[in-house]
Amino acid sequence: MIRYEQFTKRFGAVTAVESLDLALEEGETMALIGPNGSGKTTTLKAALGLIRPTSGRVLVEGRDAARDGRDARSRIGYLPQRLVFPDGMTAREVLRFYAELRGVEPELRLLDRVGLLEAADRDVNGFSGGMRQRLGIAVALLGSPSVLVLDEPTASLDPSGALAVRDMIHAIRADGTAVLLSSHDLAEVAALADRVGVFVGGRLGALGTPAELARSLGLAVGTLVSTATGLESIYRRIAVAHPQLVA
Amino acid sequence: MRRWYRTATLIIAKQELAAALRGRMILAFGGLFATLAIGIALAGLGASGQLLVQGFTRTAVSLLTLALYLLPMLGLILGASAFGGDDGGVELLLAQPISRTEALAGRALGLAAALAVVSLGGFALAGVVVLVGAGAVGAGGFLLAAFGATLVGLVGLSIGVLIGIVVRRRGAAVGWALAAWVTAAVLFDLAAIAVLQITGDGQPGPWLVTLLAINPIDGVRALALVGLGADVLLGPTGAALHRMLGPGGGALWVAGSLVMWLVLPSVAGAAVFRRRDF
Repeated sequence: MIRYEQFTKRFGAVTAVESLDLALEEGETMALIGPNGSGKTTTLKAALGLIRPTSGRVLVEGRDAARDGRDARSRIGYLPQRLVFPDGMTAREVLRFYAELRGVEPELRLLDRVGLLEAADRDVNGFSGGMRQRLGIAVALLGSPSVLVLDEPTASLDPSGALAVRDMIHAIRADGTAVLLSSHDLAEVAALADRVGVFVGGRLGALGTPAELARSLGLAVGTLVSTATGLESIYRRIAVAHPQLVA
Repeated sequence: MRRWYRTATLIIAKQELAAALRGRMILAFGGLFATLAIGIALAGLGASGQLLVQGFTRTAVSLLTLALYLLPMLGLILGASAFGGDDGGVELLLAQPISRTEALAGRALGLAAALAVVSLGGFALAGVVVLVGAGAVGAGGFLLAAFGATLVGLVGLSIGVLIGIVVRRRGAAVGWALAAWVTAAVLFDLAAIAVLQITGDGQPGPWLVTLLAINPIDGVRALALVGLGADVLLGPTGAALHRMLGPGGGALWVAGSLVMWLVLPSVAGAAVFRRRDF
């Protein structure tokens, strides 16, 4: 679905992502974890052509995301880390606006699917963080894309909001849609992801199922779901195993 | 196949216009300009019996002076604040299956339409007052002034958009936009006077046309004064303006400069926008 081939991105002297080879398979859910600034968001944005590779390329169902961006983006639904909708619009108008841009029908069932049908005619400026995020998912699902790219979908939500969004992602992957997401929440990653990629210093330090990852790092599987301590432990062990990644 | 009115550019332009008209900036500038425009029209009517320039012409001259300060400022701030920094909205927009050129053109068109509403709305309100109170004499020149002032506002918008795209941080972009306005609307005139003193003992000459062509605010002001026949109020300077801009050669220079100021920043902005990472 999405294939990174020797993808490298530099911002001036800073290398955000170095020589990434990675493939998201059909129907797969892959989570990218890593410290802030490790290259997760750059990697996600490159699939949408929002960030151009310094070298290498990113293919979305065979289309080069940088050169055939419009075509590549028509296959991807995207939820950015910071979600801002146009001012003064209702949820229904937001859905209609993005549906028109995608050239598809504004399916109201999507608002129903994310539990916002009753709020369809409310101004989105008055929405809670969780409601905005759910509306963002509805927008991302317009036109039934084959891949969803979600940048920290639950980062700014309270526990109940995060749970609701997580349930939605569960339902989406059950429909066979491939999902590529970034997260700092190991419980979320362990619950949702078929495979986990760990970024350290702009490089992919480890890749595998949650169980494989825990095993290869000499961790109990439970460590993967024990909050930030687990994350630090993973990054530390990867850094020890691959010192060149953080050099 | 999409119908023409459902192209991405027009869909975005429509939404940007609606958002701008709901925004505080357009409401504030629009309200201020409309109020002052009506005030000027009423003041012009009151004095029209005693002056050579009457009705529409007198109102156009006064209103143009105001508009040529206000509209470029609105355009610059509007463009710089819309494109300076990314609050996340642009990212989501560009994640849709549209080209960056469509996104940029749509947003810029929507903002341009909002600015035109402010400008033409103000002139229209003043026009109605004058039409009712003094008749239609000079309405053609008044329309020309409205069109010229709107064009200068759009030049401001074009430069503001470029500033916003290049500077990337909203606060800094608006700061640069205001600096550009002060330079074009205030400092340029002082520099122009100095240049004319140095190069032609203070008398208008070929340098004047060059300076008018460089600054669209002064260019449109001079063209409109000549077009409205108000140059007779300016003594020797007005006569020189009439000589240089009246027959057409100088006017073409100023018109060419206006087009250049509209097109060049837009093209440069689009080039940067297409290559930028978001």
